[in-house]
Amino acid sequence: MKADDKIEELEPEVNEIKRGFMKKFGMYAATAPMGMYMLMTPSRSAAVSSGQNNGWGNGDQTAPGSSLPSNQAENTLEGQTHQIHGDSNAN
Amino acid sequence: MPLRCGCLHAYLINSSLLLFSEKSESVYGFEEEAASLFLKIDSLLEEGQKKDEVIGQFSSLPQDLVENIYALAACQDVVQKEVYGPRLDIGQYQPDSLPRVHYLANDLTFSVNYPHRTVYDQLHPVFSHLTVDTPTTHLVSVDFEQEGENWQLKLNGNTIANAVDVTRLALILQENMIIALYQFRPYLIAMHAAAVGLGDALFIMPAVSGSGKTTLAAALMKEGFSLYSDEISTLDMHGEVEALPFSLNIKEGSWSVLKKDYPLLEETPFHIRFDQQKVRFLTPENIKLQKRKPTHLIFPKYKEGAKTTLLALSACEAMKGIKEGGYQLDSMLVRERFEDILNYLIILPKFSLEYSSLPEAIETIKELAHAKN
Repeated sequence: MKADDKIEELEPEVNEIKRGFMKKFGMYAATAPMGMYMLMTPSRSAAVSSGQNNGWGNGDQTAPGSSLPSNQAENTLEGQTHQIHGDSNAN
Repeated sequence: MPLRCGCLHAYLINSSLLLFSEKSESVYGFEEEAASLFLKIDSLLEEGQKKDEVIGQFSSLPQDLVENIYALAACQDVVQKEVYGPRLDIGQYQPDSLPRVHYLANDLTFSVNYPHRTVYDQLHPVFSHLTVDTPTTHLVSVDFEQEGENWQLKLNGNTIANAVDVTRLALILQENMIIALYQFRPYLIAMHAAAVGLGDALFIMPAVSGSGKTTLAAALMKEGFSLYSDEISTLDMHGEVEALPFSLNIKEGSWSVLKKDYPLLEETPFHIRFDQQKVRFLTPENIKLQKRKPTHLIFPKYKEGAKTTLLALSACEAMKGIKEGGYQLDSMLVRERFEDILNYLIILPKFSLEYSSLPEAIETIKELAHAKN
């Protein structure tokens, strides 16, 4: 069997999964909180050797978790804020 | 899962839909109805419907959200790429004849020349559990130069920090030792998280600052849990947690909480953080140096007066929690790496743990460990 054939065989199953998911969750009630979350963005290591903001740890300059490149407030792209747990502004 | 936009890769994990965009090298998350809405809009685009037709079908929903989803499904997402500074540059070790105290931490030996008794008295107790007579691994020299009443910190001759008061030196040095250590080898992801193990269970506990992570880790350590790391937990390229065997930084608010378990803690000198908070160092016990794959993700949150509550989290919620706490990637995110993060981390059992009673939180985590064992 060719690789392409496998993909064709799998697609109906995938579509079935998509349909099943939409059937389960596709109520689209205007009152339900809905959001689109940016969970990871392009980034490289934030650590620098200049003694400036080093981004990690309980040491100097920055509180852990408060200044990392990917540690942004929990903003949805629709401008709402949903915090599932925790407090991103904790000390 | 095939989508209309060829540069998007979709991952359905129970109620969460996670999308990796090759175009923007970003990960998007949706829950339940929003996830379903994305799939529906993707299907409509697949059928050839135009933007107005698609958006018009969801006029009762927040239009910003619908338009954002449409843009993503139509392969029009744009993310401004952020570029951050380089890795911590620890440079090259240059042998010299200065007297040095050697601290061994996994792959690196930090060889410290103490120029003054005051500096030694402040720093050595923090790292003394790592002391070795002879360095056996990659060497990093640590030197201090006096600047008036303050100190300059250098790693392998590279200046790391200037004009540092002696009460802050240990914190800064430890922080840079941690960074140097986890960046020494390629890693999949580094998180602001503690990692503790009991039996076959290994818990990664990401958290924002002030959530009680370190206090909980210290208390768990006293209950027989082995400590892999307190401040930063990293997964290597095989998804295994690497131990970072450094002292725990205990903030002033937790000194009395841990007094029963660690009566000597209040006798150790305190150090001053960047935000003027006082911290004391707690030497780790039961350090586990052998790498292992994690078994659970727990997001602890101390909240005064809260009833102990363990809640299962979705994949999207867990990724939000990791982002809130803070994470770093070793290199730009590509699809294969994202899938490794999913397979090694996000598919694990995931929980939020809100508590005000430390014993109850410990018992809850023990129960999870025993269920695993």
